[in-house]
Amino acid sequence: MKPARTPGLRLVAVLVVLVMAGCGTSVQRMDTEKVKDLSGAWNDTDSRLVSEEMIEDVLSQPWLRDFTRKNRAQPALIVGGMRNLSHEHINLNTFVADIERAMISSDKVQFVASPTERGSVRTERKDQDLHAAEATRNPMGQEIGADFMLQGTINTIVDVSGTKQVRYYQVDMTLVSLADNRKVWVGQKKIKKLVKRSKLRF
Amino acid sequence: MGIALLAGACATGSNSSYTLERHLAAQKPERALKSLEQQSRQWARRDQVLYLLNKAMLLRMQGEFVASNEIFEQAKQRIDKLYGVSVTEQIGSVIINDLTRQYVGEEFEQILIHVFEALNYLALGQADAARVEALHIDLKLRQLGKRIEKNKYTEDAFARYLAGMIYEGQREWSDAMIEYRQAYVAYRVYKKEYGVPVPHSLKQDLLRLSERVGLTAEMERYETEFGMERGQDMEIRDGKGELIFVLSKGLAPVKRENSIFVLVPQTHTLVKVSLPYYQSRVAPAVAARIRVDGEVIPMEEVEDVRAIAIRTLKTKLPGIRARAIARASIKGTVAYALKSQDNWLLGVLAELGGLVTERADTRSWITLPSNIFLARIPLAPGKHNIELEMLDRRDAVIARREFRNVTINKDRMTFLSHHWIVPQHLFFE
Repeated sequence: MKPARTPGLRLVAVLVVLVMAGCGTSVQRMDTEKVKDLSGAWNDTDSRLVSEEMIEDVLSQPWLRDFTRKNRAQPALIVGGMRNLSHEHINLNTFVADIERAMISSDKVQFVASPTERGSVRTERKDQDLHAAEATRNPMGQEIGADFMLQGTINTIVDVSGTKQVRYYQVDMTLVSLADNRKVWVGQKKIKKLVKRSKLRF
Repeated sequence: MGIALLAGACATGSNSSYTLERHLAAQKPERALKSLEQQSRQWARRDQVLYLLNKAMLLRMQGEFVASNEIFEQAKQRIDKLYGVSVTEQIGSVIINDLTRQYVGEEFEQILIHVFEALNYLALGQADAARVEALHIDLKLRQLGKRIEKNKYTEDAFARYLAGMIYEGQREWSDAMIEYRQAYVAYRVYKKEYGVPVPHSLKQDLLRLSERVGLTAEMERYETEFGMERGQDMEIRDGKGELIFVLSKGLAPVKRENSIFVLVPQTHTLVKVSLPYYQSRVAPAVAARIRVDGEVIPMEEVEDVRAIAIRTLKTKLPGIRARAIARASIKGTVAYALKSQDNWLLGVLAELGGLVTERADTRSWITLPSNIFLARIPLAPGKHNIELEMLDRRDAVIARREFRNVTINKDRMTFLSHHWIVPQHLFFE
């Protein structure tokens, strides 16, 4: 009897270790480009897809050529605000930051600080006006006025039936000329997802 | 796993409700929050949603709107994960008790999550985020409406009314009109079921908005129906802002357990049947009014959470009762079978185990208010001192709360909230 019992015990020990290994938190680092959709909500992949397509579109349209030719300078853009009209609490800041970075590195446009950002910049400049050495200070009143304002909205249409849900996202962005109020560019990107929930769970 | 289920089925979070109530009745939400967090380890994983909902509400009572919303989002995600029927929970509820099921909230509690999250965002001035919640309210209510059953909660008039106000604040007149219309229909049901009449302010809103959207025929229909004239509403509001005061009063009712022991004659086994019921607490009749700029504006009741909770339990009781009876017969049969097969001791243990584990599901979101009151007041732009007065049956002021330097902006809505817990000494048991 005794020799037959120990292999059983060992097996149990091995199983216990395996089960315990499954418990507890596990962290796995992922490539930022890799797509992983978990809950069906707006995620970083959606943000990336939309911003990539928008940037490609906005930089290839005639408004840029017309402006650069007419003024012999790069246009200055300011982010006017993105409105979330969707049914999810989407963080639009990452999305807007993506677009700004890509457009600046394309070296075809310039960006000026938005109202929320320039508050602290102006405070620093004012401080420099008082305290910094004459040769090194940046005087006030030298800001570049923006030529165009970038605005956008994100809308959703959701269709639900039982465990299935179709989510349709539409991101619309416009570029408005601050000189004469013309809309010089309108971009749009649509995303559609089918989310299925399981009717049964453990 | 069976032992874990058994142990878990015995513990329940409803004992902690006594301490929470005590702290809240003493007007000390911070202490209630501390005691909730201290007990957090005692709250079984099955009651996690309940813990989060209570925590979020207590944070809201302290004015911590951002933190409150973070917790509400966690609760929502958890409820989402618990969608669907769990096989183990179904088994557990038939052989042990209903407490083995994860608590996801009653339908009205789930809608009120969105309502209070929206109110948090409105208090923070984040109208777009509140709008997201309004969309969710619509989605959820439409899904509930698909399950057409008599007397079940399929529309929430206040949630619709709030959504309408959110859209009106965004100048989305058509969407606001749609929500106000649905609120009106729902309030007519409320009057019959819960005794909450159509708020006067909603009638004014319907008249105003139908005129704004250009639905003159509909507006005239409302004029006849309400017996009200269009009035000077639009002219009065011209150039002004609006104060919308939402008052949460009291606490939602608590469930208690009612048990009976039955000695089955043929098998000589003892079984227990436990059912939940709502404890009736006669709260003093309290009215509320707002005093601002020398004017006194009465507040109207817009939601009777207590009545909705009681009605919800009433409609679910047949199912609860059937499950309890099925459970009693299964437990009794198992005990009898063991006893009659020479396993007398095991049979008795099974019988005792069955009795001990038979508990009613007395879980509910107790930090919800028992009633919600509303007042919509157009005010000139600028700073105002607002005073909230709570009155008893004889119109005597029993409590007062001041809100100083509230900023009203032109053509904008400013939302103010307050949760008033009835102090212990005003209760009659």
